[in-house]
Amino acid sequence: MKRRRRNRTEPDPAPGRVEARPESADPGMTRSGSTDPGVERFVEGFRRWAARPPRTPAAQAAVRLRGLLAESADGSERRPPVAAGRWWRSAPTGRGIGRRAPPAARRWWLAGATAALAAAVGFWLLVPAHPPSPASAPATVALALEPVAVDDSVAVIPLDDVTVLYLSLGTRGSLPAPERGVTR
Amino acid sequence: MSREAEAIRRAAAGDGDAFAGLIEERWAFLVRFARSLVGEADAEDAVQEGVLRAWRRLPTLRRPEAFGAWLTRVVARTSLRRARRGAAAAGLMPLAAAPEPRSEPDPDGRLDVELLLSALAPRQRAVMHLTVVEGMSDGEIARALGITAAGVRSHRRRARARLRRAIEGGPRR
Repeated sequence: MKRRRRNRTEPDPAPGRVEARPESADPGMTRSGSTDPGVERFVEGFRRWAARPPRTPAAQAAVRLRGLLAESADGSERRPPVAAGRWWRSAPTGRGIGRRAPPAARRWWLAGATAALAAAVGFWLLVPAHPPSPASAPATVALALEPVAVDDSVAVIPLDDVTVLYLSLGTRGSLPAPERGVTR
Repeated sequence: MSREAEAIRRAAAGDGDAFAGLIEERWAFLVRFARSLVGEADAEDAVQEGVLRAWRRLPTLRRPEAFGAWLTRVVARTSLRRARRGAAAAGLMPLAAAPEPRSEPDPDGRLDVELLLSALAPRQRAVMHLTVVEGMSDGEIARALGITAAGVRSHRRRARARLRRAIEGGPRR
């Protein structure tokens, strides 16, 4: 069964402003005569409960905010102060992981971490994990061994008691690159 | 340019007085909203934290005309984070952990709003508040909370079901 599509893009007469538009809200939650009297009682009580004024009047809150913002204006970066005892519990000291570090401390911390990472990558790239050994040159080893059987196309070279190297020869008298690997 | 648009422009440029004026106009709305999410004790702290966060990020606001919804969203996120940190710390007690009713039921059967609110998830409280207290449309709520209109309806439906269950089986006063 197909559902009728609803246009979810509703015009906003005053973008950015929160305007009361009770006519567009959920009827079951906002109008009296709800199908559920218990929920309707809750809605009425909720409205009364939420309508209480804030403890701090708006004018007083604005004065406090102006003070906080004025303090932050002393800094070089636009960053209002946060509650005391909060910002240093951040990444640089390992406390309060995930909390925001102050920009200056964060820059130093990031610079240190980046330098350490770059050093680790450089070391990994420049210093080989295993130094080259004679055993790492199988072609040289194979050429130094004496083939036990050679015909027009294949040379058989024993490497040890159980390992034999087959070389496919292109032209008689020449020694092309091996086409087959080591077999047991 | 309207007075508010001019104030937003000046605030974005670093004018703290203009920003404080904008907040003063919305203070009561923001505190009412945060109170529904985190409880009375933590509401103003949550708003202040959100407002300071908004001040830091205001230069990144692309559309000044969306300042109201944007500010509500910042405060909502701050409050939701606080609410999730712990209902006990936020002042709203989980319904399951609630003690016995603090008083006998009133003769007229009034409901304990705060106790019932604690039965809702923080985002459900936000949707319920913006719906029934502020009377906002689904589109406005969606913009204010950063979710879709369908998400708003879903949260409201679930909130209503939870409330119904809590009212039927929960304590009253």
